[in-house]
Amino acid sequence: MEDPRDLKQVPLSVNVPSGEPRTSDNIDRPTLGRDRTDPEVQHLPGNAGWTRKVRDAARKRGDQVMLWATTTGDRMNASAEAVRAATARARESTMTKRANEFSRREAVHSRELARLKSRTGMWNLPGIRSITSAQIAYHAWRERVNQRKASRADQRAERAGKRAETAEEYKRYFDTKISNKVDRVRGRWQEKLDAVRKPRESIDADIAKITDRIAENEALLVKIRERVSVLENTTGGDRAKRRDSLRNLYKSLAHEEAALKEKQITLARKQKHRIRLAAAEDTAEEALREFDTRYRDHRPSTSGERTRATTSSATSPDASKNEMSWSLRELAESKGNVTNEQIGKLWSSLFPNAELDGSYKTLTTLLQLEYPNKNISDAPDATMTVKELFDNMTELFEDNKTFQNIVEAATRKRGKDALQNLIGRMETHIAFADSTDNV
Amino acid sequence: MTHMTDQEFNEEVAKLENELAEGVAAINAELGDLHRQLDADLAAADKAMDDFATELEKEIGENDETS
Repeated sequence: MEDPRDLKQVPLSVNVPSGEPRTSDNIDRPTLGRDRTDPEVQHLPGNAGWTRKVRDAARKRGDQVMLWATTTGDRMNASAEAVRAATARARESTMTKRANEFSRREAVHSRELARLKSRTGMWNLPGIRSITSAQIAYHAWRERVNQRKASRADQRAERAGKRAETAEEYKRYFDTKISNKVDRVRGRWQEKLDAVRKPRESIDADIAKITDRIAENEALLVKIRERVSVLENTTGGDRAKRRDSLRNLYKSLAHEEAALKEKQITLARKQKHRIRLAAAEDTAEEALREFDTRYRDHRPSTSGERTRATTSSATSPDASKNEMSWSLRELAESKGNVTNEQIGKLWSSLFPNAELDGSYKTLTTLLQLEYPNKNISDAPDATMTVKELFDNMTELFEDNKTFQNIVEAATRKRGKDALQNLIGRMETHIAFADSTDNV
Repeated sequence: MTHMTDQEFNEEVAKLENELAEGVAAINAELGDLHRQLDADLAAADKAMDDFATELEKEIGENDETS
């Protein structure tokens, strides 16, 4: 549709004679300010109907039409050219932006592709040429990674389970060994103590009978002396002969009275012997009672028939157990050698009350005593493997001699004191078994 | 004071001597058996106590040489 503003000017050119310049004087504006639908105005220049008429007339007058067409076409061409130029500029700008965006995305994708390729290790794979294929491969790789992670988690859980089983086996092993050892030692002591008790009743019965006989002997002498006194006071007959007879009788009495005193002394000596035995027996029984009390308190939990009571040790048993559990767990989980620190912790948690200094050197010295062929003390820095350590510790608890060494080195005493220390060491052994509960 | 003839006196003395000798002999015989039994029991107790001490000693430490 033609713009009426353009058309409005066309008649101006039409009314101007050919070759004559247009001026403001010869511009006719007959439709200006009038209703163009008015029939009176229809034929006037500047109206659409007039335009059609003019166009028809101009079509008949070729030069005018050409002039109009040329003018209009030039204008249109100019406009189109301007539009094309503007469009081209806009398009160029848009394309530049798009090109830049494309370049940016391409760079991002390129980097992403490189990252994916690098991560999946798929460099130079023929199928990885685009982001999409790389992403597919990446997701496949990620799935495989996740599967491997899950598999490793399962394996770790399985290994942890095995370690727990191993620790439990160690615990049962130590429990059994310690329990057997304690039972064995306690049984031997009880057997010997029973052997002491056995003749005691017979001794007491013998002493009672001897006491009765001596009393009977004494009563007999008293009775005879009284009757001799009666004879001494009799009258009549030969007094000299009677005095001789009585003198002999007195001699016999005196002799028997002296013998009686000997008998009493002998009895007293044997009674003292009996008292000494009773004192020793009481001491042994007391020590065994104490042992039983502590032994019952520290009995490993695996022996179901016994109950475990809380200990009132000077050191914190829980802390000791935790320390021990930590040490054992750490040792069990370490694959290589055992460090000096680990052994120190293990040793100090094994013997929290020991007079020994609890150092690695002490432990290795004790182990060295038992295993002279092993190069233990010469290489105190992490030369012993976990297995070797556990083997040695196992033997330590099994081997009575090492146990004696520990006791003897710690106490150097005999008798009841030594028994007390022995009980204490027994406790540490049992506490060791207890401490594996948490491993 | 009791009057007594020599014969009565001698009989009474002899009787006392017999009672003394026989009574003491019987008691001595019994005491001998009892002391033998007692000595045996004491010896057994001593040995048992020694065994107990030895057992204890053995458990505590056989000797000082290894310590």
